[in-house]
Amino acid sequence: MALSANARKYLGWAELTAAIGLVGLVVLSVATLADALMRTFFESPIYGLSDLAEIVTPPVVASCLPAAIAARRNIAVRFLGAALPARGGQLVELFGQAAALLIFTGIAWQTGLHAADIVRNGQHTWLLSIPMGPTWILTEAILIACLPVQALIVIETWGHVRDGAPLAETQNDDDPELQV
Amino acid sequence: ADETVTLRWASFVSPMGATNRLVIPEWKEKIEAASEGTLKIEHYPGGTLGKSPLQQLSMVESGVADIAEVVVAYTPGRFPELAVFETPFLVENNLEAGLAAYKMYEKGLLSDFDDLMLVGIIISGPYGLALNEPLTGPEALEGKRIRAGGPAQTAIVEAMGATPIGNVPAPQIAENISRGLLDGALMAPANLYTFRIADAAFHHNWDVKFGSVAVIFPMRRDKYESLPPKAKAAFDEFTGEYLARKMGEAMDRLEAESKAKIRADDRQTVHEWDDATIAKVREAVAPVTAEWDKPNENGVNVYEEAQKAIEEARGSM
Amino acid sequence: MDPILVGLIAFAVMLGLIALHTPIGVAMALAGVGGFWILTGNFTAAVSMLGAETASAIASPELVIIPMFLLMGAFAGTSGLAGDMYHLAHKLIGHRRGGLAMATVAGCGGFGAACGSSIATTATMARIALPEMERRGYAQSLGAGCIAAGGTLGSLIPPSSIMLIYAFLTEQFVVDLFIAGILPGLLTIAVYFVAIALTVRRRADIAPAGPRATWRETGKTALGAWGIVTIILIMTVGLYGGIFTVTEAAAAGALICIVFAIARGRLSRKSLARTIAETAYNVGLLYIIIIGAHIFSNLIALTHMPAAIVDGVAGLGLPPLAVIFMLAVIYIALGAVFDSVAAMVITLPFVFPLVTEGLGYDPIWWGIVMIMVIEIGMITPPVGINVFVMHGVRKDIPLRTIFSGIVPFLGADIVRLLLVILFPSIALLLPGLL
Ligand code: NA
Ligand code: NA
Repeated sequence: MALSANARKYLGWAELTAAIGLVGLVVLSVATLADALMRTFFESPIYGLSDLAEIVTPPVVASCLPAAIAARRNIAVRFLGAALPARGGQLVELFGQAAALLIFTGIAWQTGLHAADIVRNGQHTWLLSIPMGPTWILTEAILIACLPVQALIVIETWGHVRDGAPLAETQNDDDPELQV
Repeated sequence: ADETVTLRWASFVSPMGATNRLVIPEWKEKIEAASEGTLKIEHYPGGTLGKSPLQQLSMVESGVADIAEVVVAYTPGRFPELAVFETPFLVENNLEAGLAAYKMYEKGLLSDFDDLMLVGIIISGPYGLALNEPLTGPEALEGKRIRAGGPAQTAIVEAMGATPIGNVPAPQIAENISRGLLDGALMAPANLYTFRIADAAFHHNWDVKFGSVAVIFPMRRDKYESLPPKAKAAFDEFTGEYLARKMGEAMDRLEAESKAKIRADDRQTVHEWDDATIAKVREAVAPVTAEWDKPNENGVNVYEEAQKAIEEARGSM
Repeated sequence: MDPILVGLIAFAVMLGLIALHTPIGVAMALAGVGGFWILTGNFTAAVSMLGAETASAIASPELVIIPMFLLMGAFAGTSGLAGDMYHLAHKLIGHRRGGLAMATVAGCGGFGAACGSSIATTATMARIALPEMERRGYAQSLGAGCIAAGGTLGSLIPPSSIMLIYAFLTEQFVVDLFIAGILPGLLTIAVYFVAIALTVRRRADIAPAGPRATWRETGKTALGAWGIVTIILIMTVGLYGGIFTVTEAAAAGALICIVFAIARGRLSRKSLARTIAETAYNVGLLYIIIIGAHIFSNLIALTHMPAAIVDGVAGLGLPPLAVIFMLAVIYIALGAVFDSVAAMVITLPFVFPLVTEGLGYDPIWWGIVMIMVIEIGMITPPVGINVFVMHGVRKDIPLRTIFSGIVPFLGADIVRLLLVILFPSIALLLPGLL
């Protein structure tokens, strides 16, 4: 693994974000299971569980994105770069990472408009009428936080192009079990 | 000659759904012919332009689709007045409900339509009961786990002494009844086969009129304004009240077919409750209506307005 | 421009982007937005899909099952539950010639019943089972081969992330798919056993028989495996017995695995961090693929290509079975280059309507067939993800050795694939009964 100090710092922050998000997932799991047990044994499910899910799910899922991006865990096919000389391979890699930055920017921008819509229209949850604005503002903040992470990867890859570092040495595939 | 404008009609519902199958294909030919070649409708059922029911409205607003099928209950906080039709014993059938809702729209009683126009509307219902045990009377519901969608249905189920289960999407109701997670559901009789409920719950009651659910078909107003004159004229004639009527009729026809099929099926039992029993049910769910039967923050009693619109609609049927 | 031409160009552009190292989800999103913009001339609409599809995916109450299953699989590995299953199988059949390899396949199946991913199954079993086999003098090729192949059981035996994604994208009831995967999964274990038996009969030296475990030892190991057996039981009974919805079963499985990891003292700061990171990486990359797939399939709908393809294939007048075999060959070829989820999502918009509406096949059956074919691609060169994972865990074993160990299992895979294609009831029997 050839992550710079900066990237490591980002990966650390991103993993902390993911950890907080996954605590949210555990809370949601506990509530979901409790609901099933209450319904089965006491015939009284938890009122408003779906509201909790509506509020918790978007930021929980979003919180995993910065870590996946920081660790370069997107599924990509890297034949071409491996077959090219070092600098050429890094140029192709730079293209792929820049394309990812473009799309992540589009996602953050457009989801931001969606979040703004929800805030402006005062949308709320189905049963308990909890406002949905805050949860989407938080989600949007996490999506925006993905951008500097991906930008850093692009800058790093540009550095590799300049240095002509072989692609294989700059790929982060030491722990392939960390994939689907 | 005018150029042809293509409009994309999106629906997350399957191509076999009532509107997609019974209304749109015929309507499309009619309005295209009336527009004298200035309009072309492309029909995208089955969620092919966007699957999630929650994203349908934003698809219209951004232009991915020009017209989409939007279940109002999925975006609470928007189109708040239409939820009045979820109150029990307000409407009797799909046609009068749809026409009444359209009248309320024309009178400006529905908010959030400044930038949108209503191409069509369905007030689907009224909902009845489907249960996996004999529905001999309201007491059969006691302690049963009943699927309910939204605040009004939840309150209705609770008022009946049953346990409301909220987080089951409609297409999964049947599976959950057959696996014992649910005992039954509030359901529009027209959809008993659409959602395969009839394969899982064999006892039905249609005397309770447990409210209806609004489905709107909005289009951007500026899109309409940009249409060439002939297309606009075709639109004026073949959308709005025209389409609300066609959709309501189709839903009522489907409901009648579905009810007939249930009655003809030996496995199914339709339980009828007498007037005294229904009066008791009405009394039990009256608080749900009371929530609506008062002036809102703008000083409008939406429930009374809905009643007025229903009277007018009945007069125009 | 002709919509179908735009669709073809978009597809080619997507493949080109992928060749240029663009992450697969990103390539699909780019091609989808670009094609939509060209066809409608409406940039606002095209780019809005990035927001609408992201918001729908990350808020989806159905998709949230995926993070839960991933959390469960990660903690099942961390807590040592995966090892228990293998050790039990080891005690039961380890004394036969090739028995350890069979135990490994059975262990993969057992762990696969608590984990939704074939890569996680491969990586976990590589750590647990491979050292045991090497200690007993097994050839590395057989050991590594049976793990890489057995790992595919993680996707075929429920629960399964890839089944969840298929069900989500094609609007099928995921429990039906789960149930449909059970018999083909057991069949796979059986044909792998046969493959192992045939392999070691020709070459006894690669798999020496071990000592027979005493009943006492076996009993003790069986007791030690109560954890994983309990989890599988709770999930199976809960899910198919009408106690849990899929989401609830996933929540229960995740929580029980976490409790085991804590109770067994396996949660150091480091292992917790690794488990969290593992889950987060997988959640992140799966959602990006799903978002991209939705955007791309919106474009494909706009081009009316699926209908054209259905008409085109119908016009060829081929018998449906011939089309299915053709598709199987195409998928094995795709699996040579793509990861399994990616191969599925980039083709679903065309292939699903063709197989279900065009040819009239059962969508649940097709889901199982497609997953089996794609998983074959996971162990074939040049890009066999499971083989890479194996190689990643054990850098000292050359890729060539692993691929050579896979050959007998590939043969077995083809046999069971043919069986499920020719006898659809292998997949459809159980869902029909329940
Ligand atoms: Na599995
Ligand atoms: Na392959």
